Amino acid sequence: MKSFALLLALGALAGACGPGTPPPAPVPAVTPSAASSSAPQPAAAGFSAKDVDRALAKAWKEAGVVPAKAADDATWLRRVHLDVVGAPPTPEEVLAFLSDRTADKRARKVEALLASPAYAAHWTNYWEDALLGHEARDQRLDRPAFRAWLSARFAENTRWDKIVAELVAATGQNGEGGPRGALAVDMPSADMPMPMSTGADAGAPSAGGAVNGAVNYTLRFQSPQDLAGAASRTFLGVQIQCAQCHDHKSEKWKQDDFRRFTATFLHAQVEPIDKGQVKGTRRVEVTDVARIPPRFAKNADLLPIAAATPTALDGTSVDRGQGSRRALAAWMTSPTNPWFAKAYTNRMWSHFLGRGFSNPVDDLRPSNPTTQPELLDALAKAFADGGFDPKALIRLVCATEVYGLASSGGENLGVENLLWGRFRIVPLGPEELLNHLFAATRLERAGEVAGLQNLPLIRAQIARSYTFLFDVDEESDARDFEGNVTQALSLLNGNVTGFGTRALPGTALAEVLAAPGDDASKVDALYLRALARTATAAERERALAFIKDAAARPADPAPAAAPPPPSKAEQRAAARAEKKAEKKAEKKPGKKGASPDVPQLQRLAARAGSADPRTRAFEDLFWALLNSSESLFNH
Amino acid sequence: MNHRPHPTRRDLLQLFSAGAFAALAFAATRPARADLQLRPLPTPKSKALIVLWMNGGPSHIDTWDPKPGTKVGGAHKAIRTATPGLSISEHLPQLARLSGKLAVVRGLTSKEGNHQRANYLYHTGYAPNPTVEHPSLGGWVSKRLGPPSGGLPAFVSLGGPSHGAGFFGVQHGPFVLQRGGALPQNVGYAPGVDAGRFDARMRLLDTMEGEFARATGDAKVEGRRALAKHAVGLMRSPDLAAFDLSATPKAIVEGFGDSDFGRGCLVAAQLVGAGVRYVEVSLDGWDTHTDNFTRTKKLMGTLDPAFAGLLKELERRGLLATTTVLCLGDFGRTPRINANDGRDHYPGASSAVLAGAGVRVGQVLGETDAQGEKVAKNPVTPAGLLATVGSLLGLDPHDEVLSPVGRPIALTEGGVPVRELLS
Repeated sequence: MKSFALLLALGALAGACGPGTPPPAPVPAVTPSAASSSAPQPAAAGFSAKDVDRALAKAWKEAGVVPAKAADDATWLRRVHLDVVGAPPTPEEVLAFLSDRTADKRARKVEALLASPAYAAHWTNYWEDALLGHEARDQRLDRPAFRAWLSARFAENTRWDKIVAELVAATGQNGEGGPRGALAVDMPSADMPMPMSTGADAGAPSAGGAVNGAVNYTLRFQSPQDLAGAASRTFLGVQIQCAQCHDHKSEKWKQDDFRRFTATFLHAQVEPIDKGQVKGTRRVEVTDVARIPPRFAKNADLLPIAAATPTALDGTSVDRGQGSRRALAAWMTSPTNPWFAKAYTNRMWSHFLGRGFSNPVDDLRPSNPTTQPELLDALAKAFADGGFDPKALIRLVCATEVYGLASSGGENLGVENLLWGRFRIVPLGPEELLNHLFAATRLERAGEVAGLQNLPLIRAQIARSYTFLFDVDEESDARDFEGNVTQALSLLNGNVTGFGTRALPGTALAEVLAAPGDDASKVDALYLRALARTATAAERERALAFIKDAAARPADPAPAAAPPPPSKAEQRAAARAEKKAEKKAEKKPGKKGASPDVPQLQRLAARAGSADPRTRAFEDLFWALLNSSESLFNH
Repeated sequence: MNHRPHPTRRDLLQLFSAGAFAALAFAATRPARADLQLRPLPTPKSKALIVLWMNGGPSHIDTWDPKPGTKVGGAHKAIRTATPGLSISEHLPQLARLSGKLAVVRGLTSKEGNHQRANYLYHTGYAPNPTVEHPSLGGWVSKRLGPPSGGLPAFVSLGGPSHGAGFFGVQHGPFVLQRGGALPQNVGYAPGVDAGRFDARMRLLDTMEGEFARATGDAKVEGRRALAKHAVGLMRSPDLAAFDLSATPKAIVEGFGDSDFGRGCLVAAQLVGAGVRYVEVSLDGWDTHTDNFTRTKKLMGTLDPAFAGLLKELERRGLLATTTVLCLGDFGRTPRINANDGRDHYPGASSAVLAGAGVRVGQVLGETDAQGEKVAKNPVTPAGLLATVGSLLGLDPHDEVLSPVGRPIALTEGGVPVRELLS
């Protein structure tokens, strides 16, 4: 999926920033490329990162909080990589950044990440998850088309108001049709158009049934009520759906408000293009209609909604017949809308700082306590004044000192650490986790070297199972770790960490061991790969002692490390099993609870010679590093 | 009132220290947080629940509520049982003979005719609502009663995803196996690793984890360590064999019928024997919009020996007195037979079957009208049904927790245990 497109993209990024390449030239706050029609205009000089830090310094003082010290460069670099592009930095990037002595290297790093293709890939993943979720399986839902649309938006840095307006009022064809399932969803070619290549026209209908991936947002919901509730919640932080069944007790929303708001969405009509039995995605066309389609008008549950006048939440009429959805979208995304900028700002703050001003991030009800409401207001205003520029907000947040605080230390923070006095650690999500493990281990290259067939499919299968297995609630601010035993077992014993930490031909460990240098340099290389930092003196000493100790022991007499190479018959059987598994995977995309482990990888075991004790000790060290919380958390 | 709204970090560390999972289960002794309070009924009548989930929505008329001699009756005949007023499909002969051990609920009724929504409703006792992800009954069991001492999870699902624990968090969700009968994935060491090497790795890891936990002082790190301990506990659990059927006598395995579902039912009995609290076994294929009669006949051929085998096996192991069994699905199906010889979704009337601990068996409760369309007597709601089995396990139907947005959420949406079903 996603992740692998990202890996490719990261390769490009690594090339741009790796050693031997001069650091990119300083980039002005607004890049020249942002001048396209839909791109935000230069931000008005208003609220800055310094203002954020001043506001929080004041709050800390009042609450008696002594904040943590600033995080070191390596920690900050890993954090900003994970947050902005969804993957940790490569060892080369870490070393280049650490040796860079210029004063503005952090700002330049943020610019480089924002300009990389991995940026669009990461935010496509983020918003696919937030807008479509993983559960929806409607045959009309064309995820690749939706992803392509999102990707183009983020690649060209479309203003957030424009993105939302296009989502809420989208018309057009859902996709090109064709197969669903692993390959359709996960192949980079299908969902990773190069930046700017499809961006210009993806939103604008053209002659001949133009595909507009954005309509898949509308198709994702089973009812107009669900769509209205989700749009209000996600884009405005208003929990209007609470009023679906009854007048809200503590909030001002009445059932009538919900009905009038929802009535707008009855003007969207979904007409099938493909009729009868269809293999793969069923193509449909979404249009705006003046009269409510019979499907809605004749539905008894929808009668009170169909009878209501389309109205925005503040009472503004959006009753424009065919233009009702567009009118509602314009109202939602207006700079004067009291919720729109705040909802996005709160969500982004939560993404970068581990907890929003309001939590859950999509609940901005007055009765839901907000931490530092003035700061949220000021940031939201800066975001709106700056033209709803997604990259500008990231630039601002990443430039703050609070974002750069260490995840340890600090005093009097309170159990909840409500004021971000120390960086809040969060477990890596499925995308980040897999990007991390694949990049650190080079498992894919080992697969290539071993001549595994259908590597893209194997990748896709692992990615998909990780998506389900490690699905974390991005919006949760739970204080406790939320994980289950299946996840833990997968990391302890599963194939990705299992084979990835072996010194098999092509893996990172094999490369590290083959490179010139003493054991200390190899320990450092593994720390860089797993944790994006070098080992401390104590850690290095401990690791060397472990390796020396293990190497001194006699070689393991039992061939436990290397099962006998498979016979020809076994190999044929394995190939058959592989084929069967592939077929099954095509049939059942994303079956929940699917095993994370891909039997095809077992064939890597055949490549494993019997490792000597020293090699095995290195494998153990690498395994422990990758399984450590420091590796598996964004800290 | 000595009410502390939040636990201190020390509380959390204690909670997460070794043996913490047992501690979580009995957190009632020192309530640190409103939603950790435990309010079991004084004497739970049952220790475990086995749910047989008929995925897709089984036709009530073709299974537990036949309407012989009517236009809606369809192709299957009915057979009489020893229970007064209870005839069931001819394709459930073993269960017909065991009718004295069953309570058949014929008045189940709901409004949810969509698979996803009905699945949600029958697992959580709530209709889906975008503001809150309700915990499933299995989630409540995990949260309130905790995992067994032998290292197995509290909540296991075989052959289907069951339903997660909602805002209780994934740690209270089901431990899912695609099918029963073999060890779970990844409980064995990775290739090339043996016990000694695994221990060496864990020692290395533990040092790293200790340092990171001390540096960050974050409960999440301790939580992850506790989870890893739990995973290792499962890997090395003496009860792990309960998942496996390779050592179970062949005669017993065969008694359950040759199906994944049958093997799942036998594994369910073994798991309950090892202290697992909630096991769901899923039988898919009941969404019979076409060719209803051939398909339901085949499905009942799978269900009958498996369900009957389960009851006999539980009895043989002396577990039927402490284990409740519930068989149900998404909804019933239309009495009208459609043009494809199928039946469509019909939430208005459906059937469920209970057996085992705490259940007043040998009865049929409720009835539908002559067409199998409307519940004519003793209607039971999904919430009422879940409250019934929940209360048997010692869960308080009025027990409330606060959802993340601060709404009090009870075990079910106003469900009251159905007195007539309790022994």
